[in-house]
Amino acid sequence: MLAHAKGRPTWLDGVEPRAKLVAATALVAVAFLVSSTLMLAAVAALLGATLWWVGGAGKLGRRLLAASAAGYPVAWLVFTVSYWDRGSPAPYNLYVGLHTSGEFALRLLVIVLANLLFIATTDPRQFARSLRGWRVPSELCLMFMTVLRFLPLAVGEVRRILDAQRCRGFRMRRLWRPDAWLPLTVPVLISTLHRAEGLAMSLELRGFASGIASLAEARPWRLREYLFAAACVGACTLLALLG
Amino acid sequence: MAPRIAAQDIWYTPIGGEQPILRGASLEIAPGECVAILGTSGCGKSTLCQVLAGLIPSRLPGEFRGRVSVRPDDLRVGMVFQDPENQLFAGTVEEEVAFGPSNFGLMEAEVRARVSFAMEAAEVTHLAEHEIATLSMGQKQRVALASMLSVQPDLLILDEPASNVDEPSAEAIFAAVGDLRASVGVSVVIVDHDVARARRVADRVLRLEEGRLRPLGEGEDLEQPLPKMLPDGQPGRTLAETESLGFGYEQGKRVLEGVNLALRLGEAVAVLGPNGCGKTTLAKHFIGLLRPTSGHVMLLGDDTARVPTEILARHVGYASQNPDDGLFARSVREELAFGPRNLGWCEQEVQATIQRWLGILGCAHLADREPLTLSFGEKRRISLAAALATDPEVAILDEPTAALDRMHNLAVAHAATELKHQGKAVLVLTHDRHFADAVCERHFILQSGALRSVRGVPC
Repeated sequence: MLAHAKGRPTWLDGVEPRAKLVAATALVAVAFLVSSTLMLAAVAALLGATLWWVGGAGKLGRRLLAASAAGYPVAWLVFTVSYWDRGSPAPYNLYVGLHTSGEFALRLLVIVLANLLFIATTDPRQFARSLRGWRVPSELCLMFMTVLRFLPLAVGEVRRILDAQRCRGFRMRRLWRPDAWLPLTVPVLISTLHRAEGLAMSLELRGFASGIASLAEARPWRLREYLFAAACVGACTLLALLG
Repeated sequence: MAPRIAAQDIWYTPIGGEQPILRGASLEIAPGECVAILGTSGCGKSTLCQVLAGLIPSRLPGEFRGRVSVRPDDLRVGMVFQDPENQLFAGTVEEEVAFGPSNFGLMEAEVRARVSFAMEAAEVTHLAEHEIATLSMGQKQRVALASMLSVQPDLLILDEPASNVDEPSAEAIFAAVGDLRASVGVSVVIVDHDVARARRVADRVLRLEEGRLRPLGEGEDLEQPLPKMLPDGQPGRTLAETESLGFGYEQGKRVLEGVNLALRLGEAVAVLGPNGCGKTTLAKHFIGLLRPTSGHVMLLGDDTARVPTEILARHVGYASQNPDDGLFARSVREELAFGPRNLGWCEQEVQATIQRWLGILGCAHLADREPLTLSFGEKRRISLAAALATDPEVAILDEPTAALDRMHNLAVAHAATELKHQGKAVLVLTHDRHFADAVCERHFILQSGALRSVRGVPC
């Protein structure tokens, strides 16, 4: 799947996805509301340590973190140059540029880490199912689950079609020509339509259109999940007030 | 006894179709009866199933005439499609099987009982917690069956349930259906190509021909074995070979281990084995789609790991398992021209090779048709012709007979024989032993990553 690409399960994996979503939202709010650089650094460090504890962020997460890190020098340059224009001495420009860009990088890091932590400890299908607990329509939850199921299949299908055409001498470098896309796009489109039609018929035969019930209800929160969500929201509110 | 379902004088032409697929087909099925429907590829068997399931004309509109009556009025129909990939959507096997009964607003205990029964009947109980994506094709087919059984249908329709699976998986599916009939008295319609199996499983065997159903006569057998097409001469020099080939998709998990196989001029080699044993993985090494983890694959003296697939395509023709993978052009003629044009052939040569391969595979009459509108059997032959149109020294045919009837099998067998006569090497990956017997001089079985010779001189 997209995430959930880590090894050992931890306590956080067993927490109901909606409770984790509440916690992640509170942490994202912290990134916007706290202005103390030290406090932001502490939150980022705590989140980083937790992410390491749960077994890492997976390939996607590492790429996101690498992209964030790559953006830092650019942010620093932008802020330094913008202060330079105000005619201040060079060391001051460098310091302010460094400080402001560092603060923004930390805010970004907190947002990325909070989301990665949610993704790394949540099975997307469990999340889709738990949305039923918030009265999200069954059809939407099912659609979300279906997308999650078919995304890897679609990626595999594109790969297979590309391989089939390469076996007939098709070269990727010709893709700059619009008509060269046809050998890839037509089979992908046809197979997707075929798959969608088959799935629709299968769902219909299994009573999906009966309108009685379509997905199992989400499991109710346990006490520890109420405590977890309350503790996260409380801590984040405190941070926002102090910082 | 009053029939459970009666289809009378059914005529159906799909939207955009020129001719009716069904032309007055009639069928009655009694409670607990099992009816097998046979027929050539593209004759309308799946269409008839969709009519019986009530998907035509409500879900798949077109020009429909005739009458389908059911008893009781709320007859519940379950249908397992040919491709299980298209009907499974849930995360785990248990969720998939529970989806149907959950939709009917049943109590949780009842849902659980039905899920348990269906998984036991389809022999997938041990897979309950497994993710669908990790299952083999045979396992997916059985999960698809369980997902329909849990709805407790009065009529169960199985559209070529064995077309994508190996023999043991097919037998397991048919055994499960037999048990189900005995235990709950469900009526069953099975579409299949295997006459012997159909006669064994079903109470009645019908043949769909020119849009109508008729009983299959005692002496009538679509499954006469293919004639042997093995030349007497000795094979020539080696064109391609694997040397201690090892490969794994994940570290520590080997799909192939120490595989040695030589493909020689004028000879066909069959690699047999159950679903998921690594036949396609082996084939992909010859065309450079995969690089060996250990060992080498040599083609005309070059290591395939060092040559791009696009260059290897000049010497290797690879017809993949699914004919839909490559078809895109507006006419069959253009489809076949794609490969040779990619390789820079002049137009005169392109037209000559198109004529030749369309003729060999008996598809000359399809030259101006749109490939995507053809039947599965026709698409299979067109995709074979497209793979061979570049006149490759080595031809790899991956499950060339899957979902094909005998007539189309024969056309494919003739094409493989023609390749041998032209001095090409042919590698056939299949679980169809009859086809391998008819065409291939040497047989190997791929099991647990190792290749074992079962006929001819090992290599």
